[in-house]
Amino acid sequence: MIISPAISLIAAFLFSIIVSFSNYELYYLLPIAFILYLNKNNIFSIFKSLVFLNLFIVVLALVLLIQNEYEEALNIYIRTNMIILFNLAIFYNSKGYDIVRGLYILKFPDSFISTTYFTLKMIENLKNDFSNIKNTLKARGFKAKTNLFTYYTFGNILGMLFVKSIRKSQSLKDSFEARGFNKKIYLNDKFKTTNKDILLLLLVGIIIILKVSL
Amino acid sequence: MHISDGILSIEVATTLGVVAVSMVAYSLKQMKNENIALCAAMSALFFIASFIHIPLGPTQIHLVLVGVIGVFLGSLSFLSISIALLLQATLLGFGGVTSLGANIIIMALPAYLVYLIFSLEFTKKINEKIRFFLVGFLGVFFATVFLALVLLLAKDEYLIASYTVIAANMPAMILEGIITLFLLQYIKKSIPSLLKSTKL
Repeated sequence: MIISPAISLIAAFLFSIIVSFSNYELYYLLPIAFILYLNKNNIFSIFKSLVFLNLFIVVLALVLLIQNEYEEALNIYIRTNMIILFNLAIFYNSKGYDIVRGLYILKFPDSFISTTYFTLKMIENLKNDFSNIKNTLKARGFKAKTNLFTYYTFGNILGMLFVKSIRKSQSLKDSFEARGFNKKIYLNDKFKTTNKDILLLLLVGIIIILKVSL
Repeated sequence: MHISDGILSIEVATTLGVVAVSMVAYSLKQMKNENIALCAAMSALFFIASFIHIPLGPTQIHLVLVGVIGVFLGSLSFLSISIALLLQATLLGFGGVTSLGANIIIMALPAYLVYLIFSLEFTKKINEKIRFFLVGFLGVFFATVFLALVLLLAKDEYLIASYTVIAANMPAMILEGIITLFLLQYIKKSIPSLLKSTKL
């Protein structure tokens, strides 16, 4: 991640709050522009994800348009896209473990942090398992269609993933317990605040001050 | 079925946020060392389910599996689903940070309701296949109803959107029910003890 994990979480939370509950303003673009600048090599992929995530927002905006709520439709459409764009850019390239570190630094409860950590481990495993199963099905000439056989196959695949994930998480937990695990995992919480972190917080602070004072 | 940031009113987002935090705190209190593995496995499964697209006529539907999570986790569903939703919001952009509380209520409360329903004695008398189907069906049914209600509470103008959400999710309820039936049958065949540990 380009910004430190705890700062990313704080910035995402503050930015989302201020933009979510007010009308859109041009100066909201300040922190977005900064984060996009830091991610300038990945701008295309970030916008691609934004377009994909637009479906639900477009439907809601259309519903408001049908009811002649033009201003509100535009307001919701723009500010929701602003928040999604900011969050996509700030967590771009994150594998999730930095988010766990962020939660750890922000002193979230031990059980929450360790379950999140185990979840990420499981997601990695399940992703690999699912991709292997998909390749096997492809090799056997399976084509997903709207029929009971397809649903039976998917039901069994999910059952298999379910059983595998339980077994794997159990063995992961056993190996942790052998090392004295008791709900708490210890992570490296030493991080240096860089100029980028300070600048981002400053920009988010500026939009909060502008919103409150104007 | 995720509500993005910027859609809910401050009153709805705050109220649901407070309720969701209380539910997650309750879940954390119930959490024992031996539950962490199962809770994480369910959380990962919920996360992965959003990548699995299943064809339904001209469209594709992804599963949510809240019913299955509910019967296995009970009140711990709040913790498990909130972690998956937090990761989806930050890593994938599904949902959002300020709407996280609402999304937890929409997804985790149905899981807990399914657990409560199948804890009732009369449900044991229902034919096994129908029972397994209902686990999946009711999970999506409650999630859809809550999503429609939350939208309606946020703005009167979302009334049409609420009806659209319910109509659009009807096929998803049936599909989730069918897949859940096969999923639970698979678990019953491969690890029967796992299913016996639930109240299903």
